[in-house]
Amino acid sequence: MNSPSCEKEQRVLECLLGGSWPGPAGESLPEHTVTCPVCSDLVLAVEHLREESRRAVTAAALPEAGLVWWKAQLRLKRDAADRATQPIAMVERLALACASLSSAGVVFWKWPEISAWVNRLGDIASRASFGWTPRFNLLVLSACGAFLVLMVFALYFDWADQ
Amino acid sequence: MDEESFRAFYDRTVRPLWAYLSRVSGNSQLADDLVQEAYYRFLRASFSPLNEAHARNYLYRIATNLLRDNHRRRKPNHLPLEDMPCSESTADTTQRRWDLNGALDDLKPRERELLWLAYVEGSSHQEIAERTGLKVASIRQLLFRARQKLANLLRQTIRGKR
Repeated sequence: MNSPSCEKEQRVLECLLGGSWPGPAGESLPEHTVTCPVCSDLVLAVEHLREESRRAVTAAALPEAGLVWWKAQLRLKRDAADRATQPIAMVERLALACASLSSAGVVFWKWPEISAWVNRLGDIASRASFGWTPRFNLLVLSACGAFLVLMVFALYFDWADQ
Repeated sequence: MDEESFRAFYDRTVRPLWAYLSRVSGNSQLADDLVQEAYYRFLRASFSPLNEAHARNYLYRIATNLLRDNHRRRKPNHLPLEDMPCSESTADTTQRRWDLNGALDDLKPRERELLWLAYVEGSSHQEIAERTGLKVASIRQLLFRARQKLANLLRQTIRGKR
């Protein structure tokens, strides 16, 4: 559907944007805008929008150009540094994740062997009068488990930090 | 762009840009943030503008995209009247601002963009297309509908008060 148009619309707009109607010798544009539906909509919309604009422009409290420039330069440098170190950080995170996962995997996969080894270690220790007990073995295993859990948390916080 | 030319460009463009962002988003605090972000992205792009109009269009394109991203993320948040910048406090001007804000609220963000660019900035259809990413051929029709809608809303408000 084509929108209705008026041949004087552009001229009316120019006058509105310029802020004045042509002199008495010029066209009778103000009278035209009263009768023409297209131009009366135009006048109503433009006058309200421009009044709002004038108010906004004078009331705005804006930062100095120098401050914006300085902040942008800082941010550009920081972003450049982030981009430069991104691959290193990525590899670090990947390595940490691989180490944690493989440690956990080995512990679960080789659990019977580890358990037997710890028991054997306890036996040897008790035979050698080191005083190691099954309770002590449990303590060692708990410490290992806690270490793994802490590693996972460290990985998470490192990730969140990045 | 070096610092000196940026300062000059910033001083020429920041107030109209802030008014555009503030009135299209309906939120002056958001406009403060978006203005800084727009200039940062403008500097980051480090393109060589052909002339002032080219640079200005590019800046407005960034600002319009920021507005749209923000609009997609959340619904527009209109500040209460007392938070809006105001240099006059007469009942008449306050009421007129309500009229316009209320009418603008009922328009779609794209309609607000078009009206502001055409009737406050005085941009041509070609410039509006560059600033908004719309096709030049569709601007006339969209602008006509937006203007008609705004004028009808303003008339309804005026009639309602009588």
